Amino acid sequence: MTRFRATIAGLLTLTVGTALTGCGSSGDDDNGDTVVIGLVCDTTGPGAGYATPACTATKETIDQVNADGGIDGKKVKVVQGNDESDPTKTPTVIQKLVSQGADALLMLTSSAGVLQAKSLIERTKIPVFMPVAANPQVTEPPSNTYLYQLGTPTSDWATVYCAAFDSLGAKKVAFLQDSSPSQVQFNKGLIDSLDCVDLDVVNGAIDATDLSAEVAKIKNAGPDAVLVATQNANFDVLAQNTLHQQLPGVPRFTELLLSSLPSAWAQAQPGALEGLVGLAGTTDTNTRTVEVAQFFAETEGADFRVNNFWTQSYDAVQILKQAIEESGTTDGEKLNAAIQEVTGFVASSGYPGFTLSFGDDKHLGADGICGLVLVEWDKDNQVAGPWSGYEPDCAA
Amino acid sequence: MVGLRAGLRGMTNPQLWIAVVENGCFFALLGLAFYFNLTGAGFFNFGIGAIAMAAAFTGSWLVTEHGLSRPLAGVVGVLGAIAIAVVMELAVVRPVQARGEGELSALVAVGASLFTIIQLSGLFLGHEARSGQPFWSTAPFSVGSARVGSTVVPIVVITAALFTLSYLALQRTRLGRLTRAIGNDTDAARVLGLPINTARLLSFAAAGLIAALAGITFAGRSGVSPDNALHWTITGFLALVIGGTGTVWAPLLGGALLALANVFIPFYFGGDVLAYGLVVVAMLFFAFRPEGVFAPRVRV
Repeated sequence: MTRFRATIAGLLTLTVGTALTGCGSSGDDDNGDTVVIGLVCDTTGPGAGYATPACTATKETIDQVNADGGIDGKKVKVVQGNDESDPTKTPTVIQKLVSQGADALLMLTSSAGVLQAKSLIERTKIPVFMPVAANPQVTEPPSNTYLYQLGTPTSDWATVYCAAFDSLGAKKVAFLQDSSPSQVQFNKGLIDSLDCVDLDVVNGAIDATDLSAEVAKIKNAGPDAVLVATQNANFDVLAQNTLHQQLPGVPRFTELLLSSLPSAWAQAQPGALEGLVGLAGTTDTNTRTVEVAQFFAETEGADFRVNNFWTQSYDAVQILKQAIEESGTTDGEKLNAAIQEVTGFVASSGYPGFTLSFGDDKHLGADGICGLVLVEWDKDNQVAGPWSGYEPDCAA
Repeated sequence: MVGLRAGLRGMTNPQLWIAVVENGCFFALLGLAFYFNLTGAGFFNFGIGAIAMAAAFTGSWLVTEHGLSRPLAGVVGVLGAIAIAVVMELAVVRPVQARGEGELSALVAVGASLFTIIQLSGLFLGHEARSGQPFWSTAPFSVGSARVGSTVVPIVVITAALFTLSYLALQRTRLGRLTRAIGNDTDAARVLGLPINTARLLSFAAAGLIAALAGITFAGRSGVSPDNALHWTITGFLALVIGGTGTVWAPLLGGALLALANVFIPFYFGGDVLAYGLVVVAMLFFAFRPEGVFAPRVRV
């Protein structure tokens, strides 16, 4: 019995130990000579697809800040946790990082967890950035005093999609979403905003092994275009494979995730992504993006391909640095006030001219819709570049 | 009349039936892997989904990261899966059962092994999904209005071959009959001095082989990630529960029925009720036909 218990204990230790591998801290509490940034990276959960590159980008940017002398002469120290995008773990991870002296938090995890932790964040009184989140509910009242987003909200996505549908003359659009609660909640605002078209919402199980039935239903409805709305790359690829096979010739759109995950493009069957139009956050027509891409390429290698996960993470660190320098302190409330003074920050995402601004009532950084870029895939399942059908205008 | 037409529209859609065939073959193979473990060791190996995932995930990693050819990566994936299955028997199941700690303890240990495989795969090969790298695929083609994808023919052929070979091995060979006898009554087999350990080991290895071929082939549809493991385990288990254990062909029927539910529940009721629909199907079988469609015949 003792040996059995030891076996079970060993296996559990191995499992739990492995699960917690992404967690860690760099040690001592803030001693006044350092700026401590708490980093929540879901590198092992469902958000790993975007959180892993965003986490790497954040650390490399902080390394650069330190190499350039730090912030006001203080070195930046990172304390890191991993909530695996599990809302039940998010508050605990936040409390742990705060107890380790975090002066600000960068949350590279799902919106669902942060939504659960909003009241906790309000009480901790330290600024929290969601560099890559797109769910506007995160930064809506109540309990949003210290919360900020850099990503474009889904209401802006709807504006861009509507313009794209209009350019195609599409009046009837099928909306294929994974039916996970977090995705349904995330898409609710987008669906409400897509009132420019007759929308037919079709749900598919997020862990489906087959979407033939869902696509057959879509085919029966005869849509002018299909929008696959998911933050799950597997679901997206399975949907695109099936749509490509069963609905050739019908224009297809996708949300922001797929364009940023080249590894997922390889999952698609040959030619399955050809003609697909997706939201992206970067274009090489923006010189700021090119500069940031070159910076990351120095570490990541010549094959590095920039996307909004990298650029928005980079910008989040730079905005935080600017606010700390402006306020001259890491006191949470003063730092928060300084963040709300940041206006016209030239972003390294989006089209040239895209800026980020914050204020007492503006916790979504995007100034306008030109932080979004519509891109198109070619027959080799590679992003060929911006879609020629419609380009968001920075003045809109 | 409109409702009838709408109902027929699904049932007469050849694309959906192709999906039933492809999914059914995959589910059936996972069920067959369960069947081998149950027949040879009298044990539900809930690590089957993890073994299938590990084979497909490792194979993909070898092709995409190290440039191995698909056939070679497939061989490595299959051998690795067999090795995992054998280690699972030698290091986890057998020691627990040998101490007489009962079925539940062994199941818990195998459940822990499943999560260990998932975590280790993520730790060493990454948590992101990878493209499937089947060692055999065909060019897509049309049959009437339906498209047949690149993995349909291979998985149908592999399923037919493995079920036929399994039938021949278990019914027509001395070792197969021995394995079934041991699985039916291990205590009696022990008294008779039959090679229990060898038969158990072979059943675990065969289950690993079948799971690996299923995982590698099916991953060609839309990739594979560590997250697939648990879902694949549940799928294979349900195929066996529905089909029963009375014959080697039972998982094939179970897989087919499960695939019917998997395709037509989303078509008629929506994808968001699929999980509930499958739970209902499973509960109905647990309640009214716990032995599955094909129940074992017991000689009195």
